[in-house]
Amino acid sequence: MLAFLARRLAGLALVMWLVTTLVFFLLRFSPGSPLFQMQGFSTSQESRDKLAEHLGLDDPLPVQYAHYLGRLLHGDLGRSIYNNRTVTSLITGPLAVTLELALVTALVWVAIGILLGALAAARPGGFLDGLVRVGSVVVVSIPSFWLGVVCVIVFGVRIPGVLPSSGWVPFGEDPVEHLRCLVLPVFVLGLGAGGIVARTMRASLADALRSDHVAYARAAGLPERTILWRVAARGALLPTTTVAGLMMGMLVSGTVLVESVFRIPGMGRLTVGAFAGQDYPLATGCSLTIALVFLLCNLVADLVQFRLDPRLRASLTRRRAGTAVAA
Amino acid sequence: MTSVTVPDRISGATPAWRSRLRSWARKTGRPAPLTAAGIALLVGFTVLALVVPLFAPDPRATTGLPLESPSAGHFMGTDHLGRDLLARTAAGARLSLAVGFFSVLLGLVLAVPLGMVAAYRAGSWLDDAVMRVLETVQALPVFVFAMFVIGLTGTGSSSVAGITLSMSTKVVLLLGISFLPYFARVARAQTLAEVHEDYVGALRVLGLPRRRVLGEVLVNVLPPVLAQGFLWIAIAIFAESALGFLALGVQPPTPTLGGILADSGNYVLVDAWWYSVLPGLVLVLAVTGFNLVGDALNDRIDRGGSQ
Repeated sequence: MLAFLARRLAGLALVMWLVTTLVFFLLRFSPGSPLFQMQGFSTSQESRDKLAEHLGLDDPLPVQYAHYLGRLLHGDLGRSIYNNRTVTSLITGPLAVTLELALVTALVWVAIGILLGALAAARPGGFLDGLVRVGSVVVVSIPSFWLGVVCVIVFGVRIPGVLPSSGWVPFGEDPVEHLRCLVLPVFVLGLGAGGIVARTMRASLADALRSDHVAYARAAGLPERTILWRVAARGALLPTTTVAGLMMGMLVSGTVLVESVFRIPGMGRLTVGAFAGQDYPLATGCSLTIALVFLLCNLVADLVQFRLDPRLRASLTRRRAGTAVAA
Repeated sequence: MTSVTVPDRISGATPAWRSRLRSWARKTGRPAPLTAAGIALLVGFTVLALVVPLFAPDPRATTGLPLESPSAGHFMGTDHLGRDLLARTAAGARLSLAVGFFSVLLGLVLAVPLGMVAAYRAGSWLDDAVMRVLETVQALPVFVFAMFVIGLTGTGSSSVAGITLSMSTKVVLLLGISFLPYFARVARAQTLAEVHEDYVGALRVLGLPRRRVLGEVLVNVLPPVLAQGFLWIAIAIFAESALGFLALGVQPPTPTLGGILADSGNYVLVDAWWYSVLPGLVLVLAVTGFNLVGDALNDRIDRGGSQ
């Protein structure tokens, strides 16, 4: 387990370094200087040079790059070019909002998905089975931003006052209102993901129910409910957790659309704003944070799979970790 | 299989194409209801995208009053500038279809060779390097990529190395590259499964050059990869509209499905429901169609492989 974790962490560090390099150079090659944005076009060349020197923008690129990497290793993402606040302090608030949204969404919809998928598989050809089969495809096909707009029409215009359709209230200010704010974004963001989970659960549980060990459990006279939840679901949960883990990373990047519909102050809106204002340090910091969250989610999904699947552990002792896991 | 086709050929009474069609229909069978529904949705979307623009008014011209509700003159109503919403949706659908098709094609053309070479050298430094670079591309969300591209090249046409790239071409490039890791993984996994087959060993023993062996493997790798690619047209259409919604895609006044939906968001409070609901429904039905047919294709190939 430790060797596996170490190898995966080393891979993650390597990929993060590649992402950093890519982001750093892409941003530096963008036209338009932040100096004009900060001071306007009317300022003198002299004062611009001074500012460039102050910001370290007059150094050669490799030097800037080396400085940036060095500071990054100390956890310093630099300062926003506009208000001189550290990028870290600007990111924490929105990151917490986005992570909360993504996490709550994942928990709610994975639970719903597993339950619906299992009930569908328990009675093949039943009403719920048909509903999951058709519903999961339709639900996956609904773009979150459109569903969000429809929700705003319904809850903001047609039946106002039932649920807030816009904005964000921090938990500290008003816990109840905070939860009410979460309802629509969580519904919109996770609906498609819930469909994928339900569908995966249904398919893998149906496979498991046809397997030999379920036949053995039936022959041994175990009650049908025990067979479904204790015997068959154990194996069926494995592909479902893998899908759920990968989904988490996608939810984090999917929040950008939902945040813009419901006007939630999360990472997505911060990132879009940073790029629009050519705030290099903030934009780089945001991109790196999003990439890191995505990679960490994938890592956790792999680790969970590794814990749950004895075959994977066995194959790793025989083969090289990279090939077995990536395949 | 052969027992089905041989009698057809002997009978000879019916024209060859008809018997071939019949035997194909017998082999494939009647499509499942869900697949049939998917095919119907795709046909509908294609007609909207390719045929309706021929008859509809100019999608950029003002042909009615602002925010007219659906009527005989404007089947889907008008937008906030009095432009026909059906014409705009159809033009947006045509762009979505083109971007979806070409971005998946581009992703496949780049990803399949990459995934196959990585699998053929599984476990080597080359495999590791390819996979890490793919993870790097995967770690950055499409919208972050889009902001880089727009930051570098602006939102209009731009010329790179003497070639003029329109914004829609840039969206195709953007989506194609961001799909690359997913396609390459599928191609790699399929190739990994194939290289252990007996025929690959036999070809190697015969002393065929590596390129020829990979060519033979490609024939067996392509069907599942193409089925997966078909499914990804749905994701591409979704991504194109999402970029349009965030104003990171093809820019106004060119109509895009995402752009129409973003505009409509400003008019929900005046209760112009048709403005956001109808174009959105078109998008949902199109994506559903691609998903249904793509699922059916994948199922068929899975079953074919296991038999």
